[in-house]
Amino acid sequence: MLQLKAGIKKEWLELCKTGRLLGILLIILGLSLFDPIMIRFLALLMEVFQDAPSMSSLEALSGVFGQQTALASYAADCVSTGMLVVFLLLMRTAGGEQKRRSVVIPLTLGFDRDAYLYAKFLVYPPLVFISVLLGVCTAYGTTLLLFTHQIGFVDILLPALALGVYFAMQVCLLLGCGCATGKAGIFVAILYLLHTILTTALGTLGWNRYNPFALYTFGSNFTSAPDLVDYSISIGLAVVVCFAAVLFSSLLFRKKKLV
Amino acid sequence: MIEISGLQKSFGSKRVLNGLNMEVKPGEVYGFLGENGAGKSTTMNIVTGLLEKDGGEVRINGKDLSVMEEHPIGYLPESPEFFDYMTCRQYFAYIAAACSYEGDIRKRTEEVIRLIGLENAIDRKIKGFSRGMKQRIGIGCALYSGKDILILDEPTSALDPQGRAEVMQIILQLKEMGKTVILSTHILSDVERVADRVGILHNGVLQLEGNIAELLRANAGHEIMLETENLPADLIEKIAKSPFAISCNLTQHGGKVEIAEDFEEGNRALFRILAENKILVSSYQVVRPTLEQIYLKVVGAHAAAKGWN
Repeated sequence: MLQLKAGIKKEWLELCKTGRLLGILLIILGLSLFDPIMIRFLALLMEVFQDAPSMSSLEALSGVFGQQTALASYAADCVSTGMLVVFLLLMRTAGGEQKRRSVVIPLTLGFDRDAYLYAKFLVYPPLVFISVLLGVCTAYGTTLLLFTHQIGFVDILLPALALGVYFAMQVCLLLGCGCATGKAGIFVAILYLLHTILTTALGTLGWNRYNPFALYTFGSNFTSAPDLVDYSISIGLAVVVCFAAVLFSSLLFRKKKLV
Repeated sequence: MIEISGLQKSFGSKRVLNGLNMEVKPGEVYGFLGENGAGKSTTMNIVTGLLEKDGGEVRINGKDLSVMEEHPIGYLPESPEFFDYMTCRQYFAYIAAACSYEGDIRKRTEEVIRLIGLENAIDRKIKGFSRGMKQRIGIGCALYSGKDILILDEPTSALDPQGRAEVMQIILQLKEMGKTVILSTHILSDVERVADRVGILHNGVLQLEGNIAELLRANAGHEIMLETENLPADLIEKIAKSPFAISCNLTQHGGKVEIAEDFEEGNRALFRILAENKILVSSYQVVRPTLEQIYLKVVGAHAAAKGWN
């Protein structure tokens, strides 16, 4: 327990002192401001063009650039740009420490390998999850200031949850692959493999709507009423993937040679 | 006491340790020598539990290492790396958790930091530390839990002379504290300065093990350095052809003569010749061999026997 606490403190120090926390918050919260403003700007552009002769066909299009589009755009950018930046920021903690051999001294002195690993899983996925929830809320707040109110706060909660869980699952996989192999880059190959296997398996069973790797589609769906069963099963499967990542990486990391 | 017997380790088809036998006595500094790839790091990694052995036995204070619950050795790996975003104090707090240190962590951290001479850098980030300072942190980590056996792998590699001197000073302090230290390094003058005994590893087995003072004594006295005035060429030739001289590197003003096995007799014969020819000897010195010469002799002889030279 003492070692787990020390491990969490170490990860927190790493996040704060290396500017990673700031980087994660900047990208996720920055996009939550940038995307609604961008969509509002596009809507304004459309309004300007509508006034011009022979531009009336854009009239219908300008209606598209509303609150829902702004939130969906945030979710999409978050999944692409945001996630890429988060991965780049967490590469070092996911496997770089082993590559740089900075774990050799603590582990040879008796630091429990599970405590070292669990501390990472207890810090980074929850942090990213909370950041994404905050990001969606900030994006929602920004859209309230810029657009006509179309979506209630309760309606964004499920997509926010789906997006947060999707991010946390990906971070779990990054940490799991990185720590188990000592090379965070392997994550890409394993993710591709997992994605293919899971999508094929669920597709064969006709359950593709439960695919945890497709959770981001729920996360960017602010237009239609959610199917609660599909949501719950997808999120449940994503949580199972998270626990599996912890378990497998723990099993592999225990046997891992550090030299 | 560390007793290693019949230690074996292979990587694929390459056998690195070939039945290594070695003994390190309590409270001594043991210089563990060998060329790159000789198996030193492999031995140390096995003893510290980082690698599994293929065969043989490692016993610490009479107990089999593989059944010991708590690892009894503090280890400084070669080129240690740290979480460099932490301050020295934060890092040692993490190390305290690693060692499951149960005493007053603050007090112990300050004690260790004082011992390694980093009092002025206690709240500075490790990132800005020199290599020498980092090595000292590494030694501090190995020391932290108060373990009596320390393994230091190349603690002075890539350090400037001042950094080397500081690390050597710490090792001498550890010796005074009664710690058992296994010191692996290629800088043989450092070993000569601090170690009590050495073991020279070559081809996975110990080729030579012994007390440094005795080894130096046993190999001493075979060379004489002379300073003379007007040593004639014919006399140089006479000395060179004398049965007592293995080699002769003399000029008009002196030089070096390597004497055959019976040093006392050879020495007398040389001075007899010089006296008979009324050669004034202004200085005379029996050359003391260095550990480096002994090391090269052991490794070189073995290589020659294998037909490598």
